[in-house]
Amino acid sequence: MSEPGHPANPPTPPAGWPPPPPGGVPPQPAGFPAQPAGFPPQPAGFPPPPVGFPPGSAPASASGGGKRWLVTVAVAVVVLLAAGITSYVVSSSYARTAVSQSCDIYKCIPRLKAESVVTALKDRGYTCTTDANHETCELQIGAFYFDASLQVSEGLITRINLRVYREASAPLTPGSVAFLKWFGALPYRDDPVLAAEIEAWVDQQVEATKDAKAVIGDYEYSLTNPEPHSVLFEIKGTYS
Amino acid sequence: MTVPGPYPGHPAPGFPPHAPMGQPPVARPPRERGKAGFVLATVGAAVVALLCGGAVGGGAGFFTTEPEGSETAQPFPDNFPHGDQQYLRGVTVKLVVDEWLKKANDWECESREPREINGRNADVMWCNPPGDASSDMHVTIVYEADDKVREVDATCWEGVGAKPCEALFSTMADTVFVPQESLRGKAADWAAKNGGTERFTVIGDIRLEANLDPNGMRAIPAV
Repeated sequence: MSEPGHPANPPTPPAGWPPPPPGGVPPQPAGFPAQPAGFPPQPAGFPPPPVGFPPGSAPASASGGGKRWLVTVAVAVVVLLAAGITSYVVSSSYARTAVSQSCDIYKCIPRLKAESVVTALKDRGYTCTTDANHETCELQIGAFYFDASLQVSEGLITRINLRVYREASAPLTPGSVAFLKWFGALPYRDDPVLAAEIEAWVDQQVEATKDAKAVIGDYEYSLTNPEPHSVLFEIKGTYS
Repeated sequence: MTVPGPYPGHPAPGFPPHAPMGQPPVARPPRERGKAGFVLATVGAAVVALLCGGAVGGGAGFFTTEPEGSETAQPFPDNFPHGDQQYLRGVTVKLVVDEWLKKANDWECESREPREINGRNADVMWCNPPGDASSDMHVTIVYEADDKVREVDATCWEGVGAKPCEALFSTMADTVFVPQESLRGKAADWAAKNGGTERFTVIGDIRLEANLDPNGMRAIPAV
């Protein structure tokens, strides 16, 4: 048997297959095997399927490829939106519940306007002065001198320095402790539980008359007794 | 039935390149290759979309969201030091100087150098008994207005525990407690007994402080 495809051996049609007439559609030749029952008759003029190619394996045609790319794009868009929305929700809820807010290079007490604190203190009878980025309010009552200095950045408070000075023989009074505690609770003024904890901490340190430091949330609390007559209390945002 | 070969005249041997006879073809069928590419492209696009969406959404959420929190401070507790506490409640210059010292005891008073307190000047009134006793004792009153008395301070040079000193401290306490009528007796009593010590006490909203150097009694607001 000669090799198929060899130029010297052109393929031969199967027996009974007459060579197609040139330039015409092959008519159903006589003797062609009958089609199985139920199979729709091939319409006249329909070209025979390409021989040698498994059915359905045609490489992506123009329209098939487009559909696939549509699927890819759709998946990407859905993922993009899902990821965007999810991370937006997560990060915005994180930012919304943050206990500090960045202000310039500092961390500040979120949303609390330094101006509103100064106004509240003025209304309470304190004398306040502004010096560069510091707002200082003071009040002297009898043997006690109260001093609160707020370091302001972008209108917010990044640091609070308190001083309660009293003359000799005067122990810290409940009013003096209330002064320290009120400022201590400022960063957590909307969180009664944490504010109460901070106030309890101040009470403890005052009672112990010890120098103490604590980091609570994003703030560093430092209560010191540098001399017998004065108590210093600093509340500052930790640097970002 | 013979396999159709290349068209006549084609020189190809009829086998795929690099595929020796009897071995499966190296290249995957086109269908599988297309599917793998599609999956790869889709996964790749999804990963890129995940990262981009996550970064953009996260950044936007973080940088555009203002934290919650009130813009004002929490209310002050009742005992938070108040400006009104700077002055002896209800005590007036008239009460101390006119009623007690001048009218009842014929003392003489004069203004002295003002003191600066809280960035403001506070007036100082200095009062002495008349005649020979003028240097034995004195009372100073620090005030900003008639009804804004910051401090009343009695000093006695008659000797610690001396009767005149006891009387001075006692009547001074009695005077500044006039507005707190129910506490007058208690205050006067404490001042008489503790004038020769360095004790202090808080009665009502006034702080009484006894001193020895020099011997004196001071009435200032408590906080």
